[in-house]
Amino acid sequence: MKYLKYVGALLFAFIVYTFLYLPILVTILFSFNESKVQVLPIKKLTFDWYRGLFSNTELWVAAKNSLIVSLPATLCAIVFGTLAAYLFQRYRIRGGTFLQFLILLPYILPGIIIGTSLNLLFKFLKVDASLMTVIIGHITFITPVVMFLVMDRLKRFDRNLEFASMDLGASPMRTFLLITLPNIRSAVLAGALLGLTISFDEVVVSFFLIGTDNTLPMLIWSMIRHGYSPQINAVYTLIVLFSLGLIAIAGSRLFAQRNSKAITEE
Amino acid sequence: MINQEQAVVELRQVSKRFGNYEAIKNLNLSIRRGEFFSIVGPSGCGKTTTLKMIAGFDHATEGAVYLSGTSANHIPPYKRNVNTVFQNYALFPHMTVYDNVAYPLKLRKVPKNVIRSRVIESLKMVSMDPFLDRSPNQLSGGQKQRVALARALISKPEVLLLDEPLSALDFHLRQEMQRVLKHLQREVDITFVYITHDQGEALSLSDRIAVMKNGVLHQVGSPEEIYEMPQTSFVAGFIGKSNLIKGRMEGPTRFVSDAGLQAMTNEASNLSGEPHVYISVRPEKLRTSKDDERYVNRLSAVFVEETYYGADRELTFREAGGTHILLKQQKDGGNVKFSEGESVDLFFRPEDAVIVKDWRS
Repeated sequence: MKYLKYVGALLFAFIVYTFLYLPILVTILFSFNESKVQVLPIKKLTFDWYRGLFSNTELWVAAKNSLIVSLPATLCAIVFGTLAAYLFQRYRIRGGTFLQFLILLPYILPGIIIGTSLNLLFKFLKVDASLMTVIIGHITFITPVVMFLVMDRLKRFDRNLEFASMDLGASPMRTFLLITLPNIRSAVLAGALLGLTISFDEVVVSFFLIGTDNTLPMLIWSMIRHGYSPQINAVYTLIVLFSLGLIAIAGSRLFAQRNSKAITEE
Repeated sequence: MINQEQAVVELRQVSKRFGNYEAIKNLNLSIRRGEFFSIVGPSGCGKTTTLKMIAGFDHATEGAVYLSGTSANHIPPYKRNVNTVFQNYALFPHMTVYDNVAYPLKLRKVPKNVIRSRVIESLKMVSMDPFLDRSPNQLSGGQKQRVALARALISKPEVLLLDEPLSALDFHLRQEMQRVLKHLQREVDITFVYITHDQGEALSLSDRIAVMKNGVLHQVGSPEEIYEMPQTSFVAGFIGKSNLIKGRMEGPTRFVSDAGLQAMTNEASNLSGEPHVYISVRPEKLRTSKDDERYVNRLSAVFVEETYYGADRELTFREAGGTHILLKQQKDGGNVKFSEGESVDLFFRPEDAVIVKDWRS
């Protein structure tokens, strides 16, 4: 009976993971398939689709636009998110929980709501849609990611270290830069990497706020609409690897910090 | 005012309230330059709040804290010439031992070569110079404590505050660190303000002790004064062990307990107005026989039990009023054995019966 339960659980886990990861693996597999039609078995492997990417200027411009959006948006979100986390954690703000929730909201709400409302706001303010407006849109949902990771880290950070620093002659500002920041650095970095990943893949908010430009995920989306090309599989594979890489770094940073903290507390 | 006599830390009529809770009640305290001053009391007595107000992390609701004669109420902690050794050491985990100790000097932009020699000098003082490049989490509790001391002393503050610095250490390490602290304080000649709930620690380390309870200062004095002449029943019971017997004064040196015990006491000071008082008799002052003519006071009691402590033993009795009476005796082979329920007369001298105010809270 116990054995059956164990096998059942294993089978269930297998189904869940297959459902999550099989499409990704299949797409990666077909990005190396020479044939234009996606059918098994694969007759011949090729790098042609990847080679084709290099000559696709449209793709490169879109990729560049994505970076133009994601990097500054992430940088701003680091500053806003860290400061917000610090304020919420260090000072008892009246209605603090509610205010935190308000900052979290853009991350939870469907992108379409953020997208349309910002779109209307910019129209009202007579701001032309551009990569700049997309950056602002992205800041709204990366900031909460940074904020909550940093807050979690600050909760486990010994406040006496800040007191000790001020006691030894450092102003609150220098204390933050010399003592607090180095100790929450990994959480800030992890937040930034996760934020970057989300921003880099984001379509909906960008769609409502962008002018004539294209970001990479938007271009892929429009490519799919115009008909399937195995080149999409190749781009897709690269994005998956890029994102997984960032997430892996962020994750290892967070876990490394947690473990070292756990050891020193023993 | 003569400059040498000027208090390095002075609290004048300081009160501190947190909402409705009064943590400090009208506290007056004057700490002299160069002394080892301890503040003792049970948890919640306001000693940590007092320390925080001297450091600048908390502010008096009423009254003022003076540092070297000037009001410090509006001086932030980082501009006070006062450093703190925190209970959990608060060493910066992302810096080496060297960088931790160098931190206060780096902030003041002291030249690098000067920093180096002073850090090494400071670490030598606490025998931690071989550990320069270690990270704080590679150190034991006692080692961390030494580094924290070196770091707090390197910029030569006027006052060093120590917030229960030894409470996290085991017994032997604590004794060793007590010696280190005492010698260090003489060596650097800096005023130490030492917070502890351990009365034994306070007695053995301090030049003067302040005893607090529930935000009220009960007594300030030298360890001998506090131990030999406690002024309130709380001080008598908190600093060392004491037998407290309740009663009233019927003359300047005549005490009558509620249970009818009559005793001659030392001279009472301004206690005649009190409806009732206690006499405090230390366990080691009691005798089971009338050693000489001076032991004029006799207390009849019933033997309860004996507790063995190695070099000495403690006998518990019960007097007529029901109070337990402790008697401490050195083990010298000639100690009489008592059986349970046996009636025993206990003797003590008038000067060993200290009249204390009824003030437990």
